[in-house]
Amino acid sequence: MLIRRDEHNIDRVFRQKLHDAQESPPTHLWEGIRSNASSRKRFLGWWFALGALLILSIGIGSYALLATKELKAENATVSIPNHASKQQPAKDAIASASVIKEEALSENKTNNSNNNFIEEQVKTPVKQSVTIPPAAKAPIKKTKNNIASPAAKKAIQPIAPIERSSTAHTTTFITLPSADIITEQDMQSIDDLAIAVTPANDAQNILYGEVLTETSPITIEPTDSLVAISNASDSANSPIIYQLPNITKAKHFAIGVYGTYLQPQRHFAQEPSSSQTNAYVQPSQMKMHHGYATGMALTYQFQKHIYGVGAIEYMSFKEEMQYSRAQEHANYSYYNLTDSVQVIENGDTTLVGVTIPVVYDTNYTYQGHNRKQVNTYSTLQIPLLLGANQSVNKWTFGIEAGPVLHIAKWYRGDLRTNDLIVASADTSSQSLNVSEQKINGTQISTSAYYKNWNLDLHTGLRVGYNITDKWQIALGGQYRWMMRRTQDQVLSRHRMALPGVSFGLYYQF
Amino acid sequence: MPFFFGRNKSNNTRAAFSHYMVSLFSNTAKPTVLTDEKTLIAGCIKGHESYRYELYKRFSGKMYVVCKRYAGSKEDAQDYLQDGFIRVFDKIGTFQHNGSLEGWIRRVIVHTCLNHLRSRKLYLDVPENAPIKDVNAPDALNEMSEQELLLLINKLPAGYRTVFNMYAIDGYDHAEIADALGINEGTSRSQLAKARIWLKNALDKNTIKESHVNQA
Repeated sequence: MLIRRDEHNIDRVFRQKLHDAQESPPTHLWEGIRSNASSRKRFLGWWFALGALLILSIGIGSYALLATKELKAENATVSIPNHASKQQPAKDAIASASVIKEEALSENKTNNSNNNFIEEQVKTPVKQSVTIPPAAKAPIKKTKNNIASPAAKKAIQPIAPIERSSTAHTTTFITLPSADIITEQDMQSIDDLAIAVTPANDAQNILYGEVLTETSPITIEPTDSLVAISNASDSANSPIIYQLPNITKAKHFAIGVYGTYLQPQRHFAQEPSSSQTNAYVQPSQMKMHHGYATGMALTYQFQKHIYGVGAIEYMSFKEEMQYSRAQEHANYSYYNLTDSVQVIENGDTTLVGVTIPVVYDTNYTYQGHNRKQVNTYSTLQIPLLLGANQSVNKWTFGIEAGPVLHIAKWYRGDLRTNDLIVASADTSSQSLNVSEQKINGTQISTSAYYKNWNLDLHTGLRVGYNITDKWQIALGGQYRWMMRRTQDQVLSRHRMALPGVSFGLYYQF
Repeated sequence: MPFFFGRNKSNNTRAAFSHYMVSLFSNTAKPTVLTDEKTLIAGCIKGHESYRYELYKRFSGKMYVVCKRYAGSKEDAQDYLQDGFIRVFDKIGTFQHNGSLEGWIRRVIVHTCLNHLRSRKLYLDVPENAPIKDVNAPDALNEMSEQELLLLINKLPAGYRTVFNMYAIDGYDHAEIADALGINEGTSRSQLAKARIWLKNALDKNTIKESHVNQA
């Protein structure tokens, strides 16, 4: 204890008597501290989880990008199953492939010394459902990134537009007209198709390439997403472009349904403050229980990495309020209770319950059940999100954010008590208007509907997996900040955080 | 927590089962009867509820009086105490063991009180017609009980009360007070002097009556 030289007598007296003075606080205070401390811990845990997920997504995305670049710099392999290696067309293909390799070696002086590439094992079989003309069923091996020579580029000449029967995702194949050369323009019309060109050959063309984008339409280099084009003039089949799996067309729609589980979360603010005239008591603890949301979403991939989401969803969550402090109300001494009257008030609604809690007992074990109110909120919401994503094979990793518009709200409040005398009240008149009602071990409920609107903020992560060409499942994590308004549209000081995980099924077209 | 229970179950069943579930999932390590301070702190850092309760039991009595001194009302003091201990448990990992644990907790609690007062700008609340005539403190001051002194402090205008509490009782110097409240050191000295005068005057019966009339 600090003692000053110039200490006044009055200071000394106050310090000596009050510095170490003690007085036991009300027993119920601990309950509020305990609940808040534990919920804060859980709150931090969620942030850590979200942070870890974000870092993981960035890491995977970076790895995917780097891996793609590395693949460009190294030898790439594309193969078609050698089902017909003993057939004559296959031999033609082999011969053609030999030409490819020789050209690559001679023009670019690479160090590839693999002269047995024809015999190498098939590593990536093309989807078997595609009808492969005999001429294409030869092992095709491209060994260097500059296999498409200037001579090959010169060979590109206009042809008729490509007729394609493609899907939105993966294993796209395109049927060419009976022409052996495709144009740059044609290739541009094929979003993200991987194409490379070898010198035209009347018998057969085996073509390789890279993903085409709008900014780099015809840079001919091998990538991990390649196609092979076969123009078998001696075959009854039309030339076919085989695209290896996992190429996502840049622009496409997806429609789907999803469900979200909302994690229990603590409340951030208490409202109204005790200084307000209509506030009889502040709840010591307000926290969100679990919740859920179901919705239907339409997404549109604007560009290769940018997408938008519009959805309509129904969200419902429960909120629990526990009261560990109450303002005394002398009129209720009739009930011979040692604790005080409690007003259960939600700053967001008109429901007010007045409970007269059981006598505090230092040995109580779970008093929360004796004096808590559980409110159920239901809202109709419209999220409008913008996101960025990156595809890696069949996986898509995205991060998205945007506003969420509340357009309506339903509310139901249950006041649950045990052995309590409960009175309900209405604060709409700004005064405590108590109607007495005795209930034992039961509950009273109130419901309401509000035409209410609000604007929230949504942030989320999304991991999608293409289970087929058309169907995608998606797992998402979200964190939504809900700004609440009172019934009369006054922005509430309540700010709820709604973390959650969602699962969705989407159809892409 | 037991949100998965159906409504048809009785509350007693729900309460018993939820208590069981809480005991399953919560940290239930029991502190020894006389837990040493380091063990207590370590338990609190790990989030063991029983250790936190032990810490709360040890210090809540003194800290409640601290809050009452600053708050001026019982209800606000309970709020401050609650927030203060939540903050203590949140920050206890930063305790350096350089000083006493009680001193550290006291500072956290005091700063919590100041935060509340700052947010409501109550520490600026000084009366316009404060007594300016200094008088000698009556001898009865030494005979007054803790409760009487506490009541007297609570009657102090909030602006005086905060500075008086910090300087006279909790041992802050004027530089620290000025820094904590965002005021000048001169203002701090001035308010302390006025607080002393106010208290001495209040000890005089007539002055007490006058102040009551003024407050009414």
